Amino acid sequence: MSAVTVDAGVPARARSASSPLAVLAAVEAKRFARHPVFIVTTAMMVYSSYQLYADAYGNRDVAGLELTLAPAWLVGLGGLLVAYRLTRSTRRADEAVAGVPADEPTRTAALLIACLVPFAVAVLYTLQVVIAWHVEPMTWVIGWENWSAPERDAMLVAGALAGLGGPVLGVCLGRWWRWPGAPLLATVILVAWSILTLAPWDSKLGNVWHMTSPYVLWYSGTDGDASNEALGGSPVWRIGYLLALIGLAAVTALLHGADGAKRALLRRAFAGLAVLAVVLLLVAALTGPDFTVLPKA
Amino acid sequence: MTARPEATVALTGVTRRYGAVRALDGVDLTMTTGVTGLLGPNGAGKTTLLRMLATVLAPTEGRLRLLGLDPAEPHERTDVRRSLGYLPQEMGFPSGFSAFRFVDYMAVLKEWTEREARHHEVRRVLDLVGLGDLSTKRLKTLSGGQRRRAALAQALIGDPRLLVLDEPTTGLDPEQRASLRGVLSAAGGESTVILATHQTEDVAALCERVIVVDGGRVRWDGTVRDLVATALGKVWLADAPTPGAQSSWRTGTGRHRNVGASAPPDAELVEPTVEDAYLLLLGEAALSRAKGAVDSEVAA
Repeated sequence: MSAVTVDAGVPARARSASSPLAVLAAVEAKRFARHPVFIVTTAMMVYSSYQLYADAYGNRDVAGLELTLAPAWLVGLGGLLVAYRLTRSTRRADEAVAGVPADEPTRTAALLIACLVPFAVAVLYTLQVVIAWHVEPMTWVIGWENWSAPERDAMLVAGALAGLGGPVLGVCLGRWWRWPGAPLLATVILVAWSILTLAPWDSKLGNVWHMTSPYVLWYSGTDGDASNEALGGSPVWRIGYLLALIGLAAVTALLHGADGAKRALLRRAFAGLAVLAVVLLLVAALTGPDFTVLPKA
Repeated sequence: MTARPEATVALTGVTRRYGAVRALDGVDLTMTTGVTGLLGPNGAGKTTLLRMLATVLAPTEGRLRLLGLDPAEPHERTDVRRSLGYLPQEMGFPSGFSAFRFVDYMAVLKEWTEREARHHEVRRVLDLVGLGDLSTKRLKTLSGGQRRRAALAQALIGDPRLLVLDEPTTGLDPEQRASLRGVLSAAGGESTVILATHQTEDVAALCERVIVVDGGRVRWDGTVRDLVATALGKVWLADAPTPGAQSSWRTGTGRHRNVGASAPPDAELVEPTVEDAYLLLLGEAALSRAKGAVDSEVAA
């Protein structure tokens, strides 16, 4: 018995100049933008932006770095939930979807590209904060003098990156952690991680510890405390660490369903990014300002 | 001399194990264009076979070629999928999707990247399955049969050269089934259509070839006419159940239809059906399973 080879090309009507990934990414981006959770968090961002001017510049009773909370917690954590839901939304049709030419890594890549939608919102928000910050320096911000201008900007950029990292993590969880409570548990872990790494710890090891968190407020204590502490380490190098973390989450997501040469390539990328993340974490922890007890603002 | 048709499906010694269980056991098959029916009791290995033909599942042993390509190789598997339509046995839908949006989404996944052409194709396949007027309705508001047709529509996108359908007529009313037969028979003119079903009348009405699978092995492979011929002289009517008949039931006329290995000398023989032949082929065990299914359907 022998099979006769026949051509198995794409139907002529299916061909176009656009790549399937680009079209699929556009579809997923629209789905992301229309998701109710994303719409609500974006509205809250707009309100938060209003508060920036009404409260921070009006009453000046807001600690400046807390401005990064909005993109990180609203877009980051909200985006995590949305991305998870979008990733899992086709699970009921998994069997049919498994037989289409757009394989799972391609579908995952489209979802990852769609994460640029919440990232854009976080970037726009951060951009206006950076501009405002430079137009009228928030010298009242706790620890203002402790950091250079690039370091202060890097702290804000890190907040915007959370708007990308959260959704990318959501896609990753959707591929690997397939049970309904997964995004909720991930959110609790992230929040707990962020709070725990805020503990003042005056040592290089302490720097490493608080730098590991995907989201860091750079000072501990509040206006009501007897003293505040500016945490040590380099906010600028930490951006590299965050990018490596996001890359790791993206590659981990892409690994699900990948086989052959694609899987081998992704595994190499994962190993490279893991090494890079560790190196950047150490560089960020060992450079930059030291842990400092600050005078009251 | 006519040229030998090109084999679009070729299985050589294909085995699929789940732990110690052999869902398929050394299956050899070739298929060309036309409609092939796949019959067999529950757990016979039909769905496993179809999942392999849909490139969703790989054989544990043996060689599988689809459209002349090796689906074990990622690039060739993608090429196969470009010419494949697959309707799984059980299929859910993303929440909140309308029929149009779902089929459109599937078309994007099938690399229909040009928007206008894609939408035209989506409307075409929805019309084919009779959902043109309901395309904007949310899938969860549609009946089971309508949702099944939406699932079928996605399989028909792009007139696939290999169409793998697992129980496509489940939940369809007689009119819808008749309409679907028209669609599938037209598709079988240029494509290889393989459908697994428990509806033997669909096989009789639609298929040129029938394959009966049981216990992971092919028990019959031939034309529908030849399968029916195996039951000639083994189906008869009587006023009461005949002792020794493999199967017997009271028909609407009040007489008993008997199916068995040998009819009594004075029996009133009748034309056998695909179902009669199928029951005879699988023997008593399959018969009791089938009767159980019929009883539960009647009860439902």
